[in-house]
Amino acid sequence: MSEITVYIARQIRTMNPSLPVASAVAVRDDLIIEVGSLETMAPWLAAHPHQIDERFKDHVLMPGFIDPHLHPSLAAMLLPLHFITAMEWKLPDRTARAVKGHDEYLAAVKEIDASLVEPGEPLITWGYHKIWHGEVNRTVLNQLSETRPIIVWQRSFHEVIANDAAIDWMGLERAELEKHPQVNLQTGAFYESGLSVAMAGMNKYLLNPAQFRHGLELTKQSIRRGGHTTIADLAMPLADMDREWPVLLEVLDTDDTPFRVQYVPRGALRGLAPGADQDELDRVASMKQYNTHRLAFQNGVKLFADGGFFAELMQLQAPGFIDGHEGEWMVPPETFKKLARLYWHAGYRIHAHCTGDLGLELALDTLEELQFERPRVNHRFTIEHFGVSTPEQVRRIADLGAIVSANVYYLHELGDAYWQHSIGYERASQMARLGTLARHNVTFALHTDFTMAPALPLNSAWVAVNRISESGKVLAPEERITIEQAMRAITIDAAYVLGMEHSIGSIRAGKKADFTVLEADPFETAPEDLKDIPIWGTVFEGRPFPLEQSAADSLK
Amino acid sequence: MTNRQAVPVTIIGGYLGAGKTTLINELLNGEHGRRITIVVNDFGAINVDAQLIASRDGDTVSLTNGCICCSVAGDLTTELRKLSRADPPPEQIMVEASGVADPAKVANAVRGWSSMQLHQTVTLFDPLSIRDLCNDKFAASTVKRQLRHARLLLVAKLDVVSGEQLTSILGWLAQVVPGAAQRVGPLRRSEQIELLLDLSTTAPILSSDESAIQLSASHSSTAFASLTWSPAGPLNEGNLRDLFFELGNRLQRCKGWVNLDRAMRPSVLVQHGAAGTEITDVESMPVEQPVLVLIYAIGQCSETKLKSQLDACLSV
Repeated sequence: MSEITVYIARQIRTMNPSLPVASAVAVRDDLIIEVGSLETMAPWLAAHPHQIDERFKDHVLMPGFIDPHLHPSLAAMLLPLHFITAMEWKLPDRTARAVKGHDEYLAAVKEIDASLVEPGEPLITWGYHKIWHGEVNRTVLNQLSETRPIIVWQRSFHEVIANDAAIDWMGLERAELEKHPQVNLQTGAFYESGLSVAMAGMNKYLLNPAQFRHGLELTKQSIRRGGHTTIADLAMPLADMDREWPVLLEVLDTDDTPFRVQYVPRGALRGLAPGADQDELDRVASMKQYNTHRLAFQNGVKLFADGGFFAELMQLQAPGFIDGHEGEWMVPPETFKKLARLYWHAGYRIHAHCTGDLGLELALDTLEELQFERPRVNHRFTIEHFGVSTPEQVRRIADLGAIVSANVYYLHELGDAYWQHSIGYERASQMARLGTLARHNVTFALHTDFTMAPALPLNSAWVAVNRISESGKVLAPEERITIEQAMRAITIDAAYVLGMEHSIGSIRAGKKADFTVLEADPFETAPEDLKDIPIWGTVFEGRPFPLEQSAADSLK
Repeated sequence: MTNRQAVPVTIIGGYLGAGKTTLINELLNGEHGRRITIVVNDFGAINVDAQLIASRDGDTVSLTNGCICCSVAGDLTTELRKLSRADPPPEQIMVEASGVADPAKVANAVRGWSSMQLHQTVTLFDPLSIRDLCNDKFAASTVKRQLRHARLLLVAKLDVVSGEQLTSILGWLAQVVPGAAQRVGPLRRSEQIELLLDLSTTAPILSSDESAIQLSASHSSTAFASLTWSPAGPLNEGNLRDLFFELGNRLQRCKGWVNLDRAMRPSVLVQHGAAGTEITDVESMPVEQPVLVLIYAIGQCSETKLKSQLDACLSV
């Protein structure tokens, strides 16, 4: 057994209501021994060799932040690309400044073009959106460069716009593209089924193993910068375990990775074939064979009700979308129920992706049926994303004992857009109705679904507390939550969603020594300044990991 | 290899439990002599007579009767292009759409590629459950969309439904999905299979050159006239579809580009032919003004009446 290290701090916010603040925490190996003050922990210190560590004496400690829903593999694909975004994105190897306006967008592309060394190297950029950047099409991109393949990948992944050099680079035949109804060769736009045509052309570049590994390294740094000590990957595998797992081990299962990952497997890879029930259960149960110290499958399983939020494919109850289009089911509703039943009876913790209120309705009807068949307490059935919902559904969530993991960031970046173009003010402003959850005492966590949102828990908390849209308006002030509620949602309640509340999420004796070290106390910060609190770094299982040192490391 | 014929592609859609797998099994095990490549959702559910299996390679099974059955791991468009360019190419490709897919959307994966030609979109439905499904709060909009967006509707479970039930269900269907009654195919499985294998019907996909509109041989004895109509504003899609179905085969063909009354992607390509109406989103129109060209049977329609019926489709 090692020596005890006592960290003293300006303030320790434990997130344990039995002892909410402290000034010292004693740590031995990876565990917390005692929380309090140097005086109260004297008996421990008298009995064991110890050292007092003063490096945090001017800092504030919180339990290590937890994001219970993001996708490192997707982030790994995206981060190596050039970000030109309307919001600022602080990335590990650069900061993508906020770029708004058509001319500014083009200038940003030009700048990147000039910086690339290889003349034939494709310039793939992500983050474009017409609302902020105006009309960008093939002609405009051709004017920027006739030789460099330039591919603009739209912010919500709906569409790709290419110049002629890119169309050639992707190896696509123009004669065929001309006839495709969802490829506009005039404007260079590829959307819906046309998008998959463009993706097929880009895959050789996007899925290149060296690039993927590099992207995963950047993802790892992004997660560090958010102050995370635990994250969860909510849909494993992305496509193929055999291809993804070795790289994940290589990059994330290392001594210098200051966080752990809980993996939640997909409940079905492709629907549920008749007679395949036991096969699916076996497949999911067998995932635990992959577990390592840092990367582990536990008791969760992931199901999908309706489509993606950014793509406006949520299933909505009346009155639906302004333009009358309909969302999509990921699997037939009956199949969703069958899968849920399978895992419910086997005792799993079910995470259900629900973006629209009809998708949520399916999940709740399913849960109610299952409770009728085989009542379970402490089942932790979790509604993931929680985009559009009704207050009555929240009451039902409470009645059925379900909990929520919400992507509140949608409200900030999509609130205005969805108000104007998608579902109207009333429902857009009330997306992620956390205030109602709190009033009904429903446990909820905040997640980012990175890269749907920046992997910054304090940023998510800031959206939750202020509900400020991208244009600065406050959307549905009644749904704001307190700073304390937001802090719970990124610590102890996020741990609860992942079934790990006994070992992480608060600073108390017996738990893992995971801390996020801040320059200021969120509880004493003005709500509008929450997102700007600087992060010194983290302590993971008793070991300090400063961010500044990592910046120096990454330049090696 | 120069100028290969485009492989005709048929999309087979229908909700969970409609009977797609049963139909596909019949096609695979059948003695029709057609080399069909069938792309299915779930390989495990396929039931091929063991004696027919020539070889197996992962998710692809080749049969002694020349048929191939495979499932798609990645992207449908890429898979289909690969399959259509096989050597030798299949005589026909059929794609099983997922239980919640919109056959018109799946059809988009086929359009625009010279190695393939969209031949038919089919929605198969179970007559005994269709009414409940159209009232189910979760499935209703998906199922109705499948019924509206396929050119051919086929009734499944014919061995367990009585003639009376069928009449009642088809009557109900005609009310719930306008024009559906005209699109219901034969009520015998053997005839349905014949129809699925029938590649001789003129494809309703028209060439981009409007003057090359083809008229079906069986109508050559009827006199036709053409009407070019420019809408004064955006159209209501539902009213337009209703009009086409009401006209039935008095309207031989219609093709054009118009704007619908919606905010997102209003521009659409309208194509109406013997087997139904297709309305497809387009990024932009290749014509200066929205226009529809209609070919109608003289004596069964009047130009004036048609014009006023079309005007009634304008959004108020």
